[in-house]
Amino acid sequence: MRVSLNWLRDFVQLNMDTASLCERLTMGGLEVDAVEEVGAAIASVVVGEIVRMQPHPQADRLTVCQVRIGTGPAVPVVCGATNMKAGDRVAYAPPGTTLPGGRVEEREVRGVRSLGMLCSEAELELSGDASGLMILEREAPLGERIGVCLGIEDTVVDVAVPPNRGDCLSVLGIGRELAALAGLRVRRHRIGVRERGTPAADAIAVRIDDVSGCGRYAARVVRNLRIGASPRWMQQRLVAAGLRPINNVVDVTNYVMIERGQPLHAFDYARLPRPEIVVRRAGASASFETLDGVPRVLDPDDLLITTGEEPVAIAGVMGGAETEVSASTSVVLLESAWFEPSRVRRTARRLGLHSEAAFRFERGVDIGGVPAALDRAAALLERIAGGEVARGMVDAYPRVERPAPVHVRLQRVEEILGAPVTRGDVVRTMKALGASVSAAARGTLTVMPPTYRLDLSREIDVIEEVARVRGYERIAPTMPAVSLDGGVVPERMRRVGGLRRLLAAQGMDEAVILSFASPRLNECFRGIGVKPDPVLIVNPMSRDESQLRLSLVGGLVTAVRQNRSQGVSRVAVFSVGKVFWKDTGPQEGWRLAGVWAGEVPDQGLGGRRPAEFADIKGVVESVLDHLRLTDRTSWKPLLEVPAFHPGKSAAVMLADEFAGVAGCLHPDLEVEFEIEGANWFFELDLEKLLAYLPARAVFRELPRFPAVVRDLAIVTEEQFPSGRVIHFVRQWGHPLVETVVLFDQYVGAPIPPGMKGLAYSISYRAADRTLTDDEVNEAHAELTAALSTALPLELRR
Amino acid sequence: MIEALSRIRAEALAALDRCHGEAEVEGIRVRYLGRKGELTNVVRQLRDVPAEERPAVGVRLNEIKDELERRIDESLSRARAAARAQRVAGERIDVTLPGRRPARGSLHPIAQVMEELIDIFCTLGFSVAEGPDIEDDYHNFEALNFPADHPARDMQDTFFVEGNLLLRTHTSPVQVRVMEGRRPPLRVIAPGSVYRHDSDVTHSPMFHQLEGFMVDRHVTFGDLKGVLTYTLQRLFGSGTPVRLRPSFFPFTEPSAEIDIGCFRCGGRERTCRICKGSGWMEILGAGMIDPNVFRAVGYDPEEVTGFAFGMGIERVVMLLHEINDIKLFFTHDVRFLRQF
Repeated sequence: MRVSLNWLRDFVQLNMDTASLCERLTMGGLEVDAVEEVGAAIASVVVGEIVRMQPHPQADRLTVCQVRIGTGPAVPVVCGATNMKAGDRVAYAPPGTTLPGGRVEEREVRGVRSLGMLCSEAELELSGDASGLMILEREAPLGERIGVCLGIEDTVVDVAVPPNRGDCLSVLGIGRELAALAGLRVRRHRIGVRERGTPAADAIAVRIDDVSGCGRYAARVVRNLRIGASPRWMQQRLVAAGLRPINNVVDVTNYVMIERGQPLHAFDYARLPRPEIVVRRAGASASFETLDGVPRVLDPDDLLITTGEEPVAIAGVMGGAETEVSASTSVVLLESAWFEPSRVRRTARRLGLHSEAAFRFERGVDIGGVPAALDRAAALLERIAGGEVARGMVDAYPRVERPAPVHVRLQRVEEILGAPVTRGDVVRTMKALGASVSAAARGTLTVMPPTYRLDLSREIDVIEEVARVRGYERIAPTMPAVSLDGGVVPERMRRVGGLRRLLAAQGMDEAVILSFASPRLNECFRGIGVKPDPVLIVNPMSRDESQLRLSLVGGLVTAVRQNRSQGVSRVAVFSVGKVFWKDTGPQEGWRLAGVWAGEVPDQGLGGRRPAEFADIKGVVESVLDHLRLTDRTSWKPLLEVPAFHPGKSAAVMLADEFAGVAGCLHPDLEVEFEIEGANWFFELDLEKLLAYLPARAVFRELPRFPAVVRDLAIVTEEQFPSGRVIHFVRQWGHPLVETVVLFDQYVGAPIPPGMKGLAYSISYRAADRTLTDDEVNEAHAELTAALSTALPLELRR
Repeated sequence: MIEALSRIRAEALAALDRCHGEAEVEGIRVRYLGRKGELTNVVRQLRDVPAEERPAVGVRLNEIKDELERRIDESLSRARAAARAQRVAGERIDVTLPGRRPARGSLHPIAQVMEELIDIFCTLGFSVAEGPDIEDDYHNFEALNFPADHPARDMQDTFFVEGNLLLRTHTSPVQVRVMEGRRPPLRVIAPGSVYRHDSDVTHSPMFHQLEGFMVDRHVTFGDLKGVLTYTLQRLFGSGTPVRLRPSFFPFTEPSAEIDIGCFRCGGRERTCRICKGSGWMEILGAGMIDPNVFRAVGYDPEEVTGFAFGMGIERVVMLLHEINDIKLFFTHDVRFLRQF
């Protein structure tokens, strides 16, 4: 809500500077977003008088004017206009002035010195008139600022009005509020309407069929209007409020709306099909052309202003093209009404018509102020458009609305606020806000809010007003006395916190990825532990963000590409977030994902090499280890997930359930997403991983007898998974075998082509004695024999 | 015999005095004390000494042997020390070469500030709760006293999801969900992602909030002020000015916006890029939980009162680190991420 302070002064005497005014409003809950000084741009333009004029000696079209602005000597100004004469008072911009169009300097114009510039209205941005100089009244005081002389200097404050304060969407409303906050008085103006001619009731009948949609409908008829531009003062105020002047009739309706918060509409009376107004549901009426020339499809529940059959306006939203006021209009029907907020809102939203009128109706206008606004508009039309106001007002007000009394317990006020508040405090505050207050039972007050405060209906609403108007700074901060239990962080969050630190400690940077995904991204990266159908957004910002992600991997792919486009190729990033999918309803679950792209993080000199599978596997293993899940997990080649390279990716199995992936993207996708190279991804289903709550570790006795290590070297086909040997040894379960570790893999001579050599070290230990060589040899021989029978491999000596 | 011993002793000591280095000292040990050494030879000749002289010669022999061993060990230590000193004098590494450190990654600034806030509230006895990102109208709006077709809904541009659902526009639905399942007293915070149909340098369609609320008998607006002032001063530094000004949220009444004094300029710079010259920065919204919210979850507003608050985390992080574009949080540029 843009509020002109000149206008505001019509209602309250502002005994404070702009900064304190803004502070008062802001600290009263009406935040001032911006302050604009109107006329500041032309503050150095002053009133000057053309003392003498003579033709420019070198140019036919130029005139040299001698201009004086006070008692000093006149200065020469070269001017191209022709509409002035000696003795005229004009707008003079001295050298050094910055006008909206540029800076004015002292200069030579074809050999004649020119000190400044004489301005047109267009050059001062007062209007579009560039036809000649702006000629001022003869009485305009010399040297006075043009802004002061024309009354355009003004301050406009832009106030953020919260949605529950429709009563503040007007100059009067802000004035009332400021008066309550600053202890000022609101000036009351008598609206004198001079009535003439045939009574309005003879010219128009009003009937409300839909009483729930229209609580009150008042109308006046104004005859013999002369349509034209409204006076400058009115235009200036409308512009200050952010509205565009149109013609005197429309400007009056807008002016009253801004001034009193009541939207009005003017119909061209001659063009109404019948002299009757019927407010009703649209029902079967299918379409209607609004005054912006757009045909609107109606919903049966829309509220219409009609003449019985024919719609002439969509109530509270926009008038019709057919009955719009035009240059030939001479009689208007003025409407001032109260429409049900949610009805107006539904229609305005559906039609996308967010007019100033609808904005106010949606927030509730003052049903008690309907006639006053109508009178004010009629009086203004008489004053500025020569209208004759017909006798009387037609006011259909089927059920007179009175605000319900609110009972306020003084003890409750203190209980909520936690600060001492007296009866007098409540009475004073509520009276300042225009309510009447009476004593009810002991310790209770009855508050009757004014009709414009639709938001005051409950005790808590009054308590808020007491706190707000008196100032929140008057309530002292206290610390609640509470029981000590609490401070609990969910186990899941605590453990995820541990994982995030673990990954960061391994050189990975945490990214936060938006939950959205493009259809293509979801098509490529179908996630783990999710159903294939993504959740769709009904009103996405763009197609790229039209679904919720099934997997975090798509976001990481984007992260790699974005970093590469910035010239950063070494990317080690992880992210924790939710994925979403559709089952019977939408589902969501937590995932942890990461990527290791380009070279492994720098580790001193010679630390550079491209990332490989072992790097990403190591990261995943450290996660599993952190969660103490190593013994429950196994790795197997990942063949069935098309996003991943079938020969370079693994499925992470947790107790035989698919719980994660690690590997590199399918080369087709690397090409599509422009991230070719060594990019290793992983994604883990945290729901599955975190379902296992690790038990507290139980201490195992430290070994008291030494272990004996025997190496085992085998030759096998290159495709043979090395893990099968380890798996076999564990399954074999010899009581003396303590650990088995792969410590070398090699190809090339003397290993035949297509084969590889693997070397394991097996540690034997008994808990109760030192093993003898014979015992170990026997166990090792048994093991090697079993291995070579069970698996396709040869032992090497 | 005694003279022979004295001569050997004198020779050996002289040799020790002359020798350099560990090897030469070892050579002297072999020459005099070795199996064929000169002193050992004397021992072999001992049986030729008349029996009555033998004890005296024996005593002298052992004295000299002990002395020589001691002196040789000393020389050896000296020689080794000298060798070490020489080695040390020649050993020089380039201490300006880069260290071989384990790579260090970073935690996202949003996550860091979120954790900091969670820590602060946990010390005040607030527990953490979470809720779904995909919400229904009831929990996101209706139970929070946003009537259907009310302009208050314009404050939060909503993403709708098929099936009459939506992406939560704030973390406040967690308030409703927690209260539906539990009875007061409650002290709960709810961190999480929220979504609004909005995008510019200060708005992202997804961002993060921390919701908090406390419900008990006799919780007052003064308590709200006390708890949040304490929290903000822990986060932004003790002595940070905190002010509350009236505002409107459908689910609280009275409602407040909470501002902190500009920590960059303290309100002294008219063109401060953080506070825009006002001296204050809006940090969070709060208020006393509206009786209608209590009724929606089956609490009696005459029995309990409470306060609730919500904080936009991105905004706080942007202020704390002077970050000028919210999109930086979500573009995954590692040059950005590594700064925190």
